[in-house]
Amino acid sequence: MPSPSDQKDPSFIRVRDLHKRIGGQHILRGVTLDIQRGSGVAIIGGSGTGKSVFLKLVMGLIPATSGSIVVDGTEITGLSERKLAPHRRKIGLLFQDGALFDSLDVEENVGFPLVVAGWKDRKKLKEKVRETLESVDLGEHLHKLPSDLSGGMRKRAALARAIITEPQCVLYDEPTSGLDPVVADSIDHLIRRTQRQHCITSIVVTHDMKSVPVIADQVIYLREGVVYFSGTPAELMSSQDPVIRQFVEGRSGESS
Amino acid sequence: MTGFLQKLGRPVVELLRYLGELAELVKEVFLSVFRHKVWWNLMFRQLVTIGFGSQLQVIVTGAFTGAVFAAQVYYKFNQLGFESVVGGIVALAMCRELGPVLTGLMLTSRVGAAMAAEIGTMKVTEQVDALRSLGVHPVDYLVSPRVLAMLFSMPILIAESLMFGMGASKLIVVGLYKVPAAFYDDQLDKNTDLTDLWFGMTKGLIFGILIVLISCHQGLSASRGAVGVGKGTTAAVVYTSLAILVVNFFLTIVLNFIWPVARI
Repeated sequence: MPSPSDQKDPSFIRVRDLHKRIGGQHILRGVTLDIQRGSGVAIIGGSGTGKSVFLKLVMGLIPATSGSIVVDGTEITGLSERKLAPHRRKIGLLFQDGALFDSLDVEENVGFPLVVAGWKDRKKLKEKVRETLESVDLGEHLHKLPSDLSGGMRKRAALARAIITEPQCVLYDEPTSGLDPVVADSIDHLIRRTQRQHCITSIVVTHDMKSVPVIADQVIYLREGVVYFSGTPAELMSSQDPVIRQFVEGRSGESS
Repeated sequence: MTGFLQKLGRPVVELLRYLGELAELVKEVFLSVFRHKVWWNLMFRQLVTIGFGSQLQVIVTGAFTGAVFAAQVYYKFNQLGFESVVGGIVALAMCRELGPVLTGLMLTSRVGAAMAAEIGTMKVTEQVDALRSLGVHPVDYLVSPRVLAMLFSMPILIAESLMFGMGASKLIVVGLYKVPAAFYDDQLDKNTDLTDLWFGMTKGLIFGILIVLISCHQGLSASRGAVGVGKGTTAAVVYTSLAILVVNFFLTIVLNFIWPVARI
């Protein structure tokens, strides 16, 4: 029997009429979209429009209010925490603040997914960790604790942890927020390089419009809980829609 | 009227919901220990934190409680001419009540608070979500190793508490108040036996499980940043202490049917 990934479905993620309410707020109001295998997708939108919530829904970290999320051929809405575990191992998630385990050093943090995957050979595990850390230019900080790292280093370490098992997809929650422009640019290129080298589907939530052309083949603009725009970065930049223009140009409409 | 009933009913509903969540956590711990991966390295780390790290507190508490209880009982019983019975009374009280209850309360303040704060901080900084995103169930990684470590540590800690409590009691009664050691030992033998030890150990194990479950539950439910972690930690200590004292009463009644006090 072929596995879902052998069935040549070009969509890795298929979302239909997704709703999410948190407390009294209706955050997502019927999101429908497809994300192709191996593509780089940027999700943009104002604060509070549900971008990070969308990533958590795709990861199964929070339950959907209604709608359907199919990941690699499997409907994940309604699955229990334990049944979600194998699905989650196909996807890496880079949290906004890294979410590194602060009781473990960089080497242990990055090697953690391999321990979960059952790697027993410590020598091979350490080699793989070193190799992955070198790919994110963090090879010399193996034994530092997360509290001893700068913001950029923490994001790199978290990225190494997200990609070390070579997942089919990596979700990035504002990977460049709080970083200086140079470090942010290097993270953008790292994301693109990782996506191309390993043919990983990458979904990046970002506010940084400079990042979009670097990291994405497709841009999804969420507004008021629905997909307002979906297209290539070039189509986004050339759009004459006043709402999109205002967001892209970062105009608040206020004067001082 | 409806408003009054709603006000009355809300705490009951909240309590039932809370107990339901604790029951769910118990189920997950069982599943985790018997069906899923046990993180033995974390269990051993917790064994050091809970067991080894709590010894001084437990020993000091046990010793001084035994000493002060022996002194108080001696003052009264001396007036009645029953001072030789002090050893038996202290041993009985230490084994059946003071040892397990005080060890439980000391572990609540030391270990329970730390568990709630550590797991709560992990929750609000998304480290628990990071665990879940890596396909690790938080109960497998954070709760089960602590439960197992507590189950291994508690009997040893209670034994230490009893040993030092009874030792200190003998030191006070025999050493300070000059009650003959032979009388003291004879009454101790007559008034206590192994069932008193089982009584105390059973209580201690149940208190240990309460400490871990309530504290970990508070940690896993933490929200709203540092304030939420602080509130969760306080709630863990308060709820666990109250639970120990309330459950202790019911356990005393039930366990007395199984292991009644020895007849003289």
